[in-house]
Amino acid sequence: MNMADQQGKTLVRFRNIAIATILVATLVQFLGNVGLFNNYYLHILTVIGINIILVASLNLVNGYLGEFALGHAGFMAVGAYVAALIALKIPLPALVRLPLSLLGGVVAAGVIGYLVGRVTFKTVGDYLAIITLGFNMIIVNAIQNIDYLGGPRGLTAIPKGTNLVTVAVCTVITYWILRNLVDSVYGRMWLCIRENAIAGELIGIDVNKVKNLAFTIAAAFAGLAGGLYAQYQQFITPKSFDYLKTTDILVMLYLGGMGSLSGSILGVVAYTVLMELLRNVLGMVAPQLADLRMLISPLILVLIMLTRQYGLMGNREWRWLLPDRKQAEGGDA
Amino acid sequence: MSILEIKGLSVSYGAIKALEGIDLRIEEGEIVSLLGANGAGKTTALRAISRLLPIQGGDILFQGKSITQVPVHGVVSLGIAHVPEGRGVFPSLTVQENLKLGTWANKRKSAIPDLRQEVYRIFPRLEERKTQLAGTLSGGEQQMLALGRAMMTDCRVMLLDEPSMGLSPLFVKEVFRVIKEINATKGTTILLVEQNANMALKIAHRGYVLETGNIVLEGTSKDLAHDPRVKEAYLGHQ
Repeated sequence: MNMADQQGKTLVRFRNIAIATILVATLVQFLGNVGLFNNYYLHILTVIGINIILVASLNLVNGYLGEFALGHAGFMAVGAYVAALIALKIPLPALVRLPLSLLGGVVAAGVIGYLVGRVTFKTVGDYLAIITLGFNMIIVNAIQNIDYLGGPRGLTAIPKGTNLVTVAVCTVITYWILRNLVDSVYGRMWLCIRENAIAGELIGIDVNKVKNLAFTIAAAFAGLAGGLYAQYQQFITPKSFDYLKTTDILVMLYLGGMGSLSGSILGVVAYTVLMELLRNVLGMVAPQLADLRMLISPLILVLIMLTRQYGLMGNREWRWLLPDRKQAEGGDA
Repeated sequence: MSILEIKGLSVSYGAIKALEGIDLRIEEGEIVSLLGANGAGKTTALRAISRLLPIQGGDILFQGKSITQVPVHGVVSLGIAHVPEGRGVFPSLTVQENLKLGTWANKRKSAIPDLRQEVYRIFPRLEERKTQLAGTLSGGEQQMLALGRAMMTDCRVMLLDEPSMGLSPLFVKEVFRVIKEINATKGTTILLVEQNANMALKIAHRGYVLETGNIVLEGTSKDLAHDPRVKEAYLGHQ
């Protein structure tokens, strides 16, 4: 290992990047509050953070485990509604309200995810995709028909608990947990199942249990993203969590890369920035063209799939986001 | 008490009967080979024992206890390791990681360092390549890794499905030598499914011959090797 690598190892590493991210987010949020930073950009950065949580967590199931789940927005909905209810109905000081509501969202989405996983992991492949899509629809339709949850109008006037700083903190924590999970023996087992499920069973892995672990964790983090979203946007409707949202998450996931957490970051940033650029550029040319971006984004996905099947970063990681031990071993995990 | 006893085992794929009530008895420390042509039901028998396939009738006893209600992963932790046809190593994991995953169902965690040493002693090549991805190993090395990974489960019985398939003649010899060594030094009982009847009968103590779902012959390897029917069907005229 040469000098440059040594220096790289001491400075550009996950812990420092995480601290820097949170500091920059705090600064940007502060500048935004005092009117020195464009609030539109602030909004985009916040959305990017929430989407990274969604995409990186779905990567556990669709990337590392190699299954194809289609209901991620459903779990986001569970997290969003539970968090919103806690924030709305329980009078709590703001400092306690945010963590408690987020925790509620995480736990609720995790529990629902576990139950759905128990049922769905008796199947694989296409069937799993259809069943998870079905659950997404069931959750959204159920919410739509429950008056207590506001029905199709949704919940409004949710206290504002989230800004870029809380989103940045949650994103960093999520990334850290997911990365360490992927690097753990469970992460290895997910890869085993993806590569050869029967051989996995034959070395004693309880395949259904280990699959459901990934699914439950992914659902729990989708719940976290939902909780953040609800308290950032301050209003939620069932429609924000239908299969179109799931599709959005999938597009970012496949664009960034399967089995790569760095890819999830890249995919979200690239897709979000691109969509906003298109909206502005097309809007400048002619306002009625702005909707064309909805045509261009799937086209980009098709191109990516044709040229790079595993996405931009498929199965590779940015070295500086790997655990220190792996970073020393170098590159590809 | 036999370590593994199979009584009247029958398995069907839909309407097709693959095994029509076979009986096998394997004593502790033996190498038993299961011979037969393609489609005779050899692989099916192994898959039924390791619970990958549901059975329609009969019983499988491991150390006198029925295991037909035990899930696949439970069978592994009881001490039966199945090395499937085509080896089934995990290509994107390193040799080390493959071996480590073999210890997942191992109940005696304290035995793991010794097991690893044992594996590296029998397969020095694996130690040389321990940080290499399993997918980059040669076919023979992958078979070694599959055997080593099975050893890491701390098994009492190994079910080996065509371990010599697709290997160069040199590696075929090596695989059979290693199987014999595992049996001799660790006392692991081995049920060996093979097309290469010649080699299999050389290292096995006893053998069974399976034909279209039925056991048609059984006996010591010596007897089988001299049986005219076996000679004709599986060993070729000599």
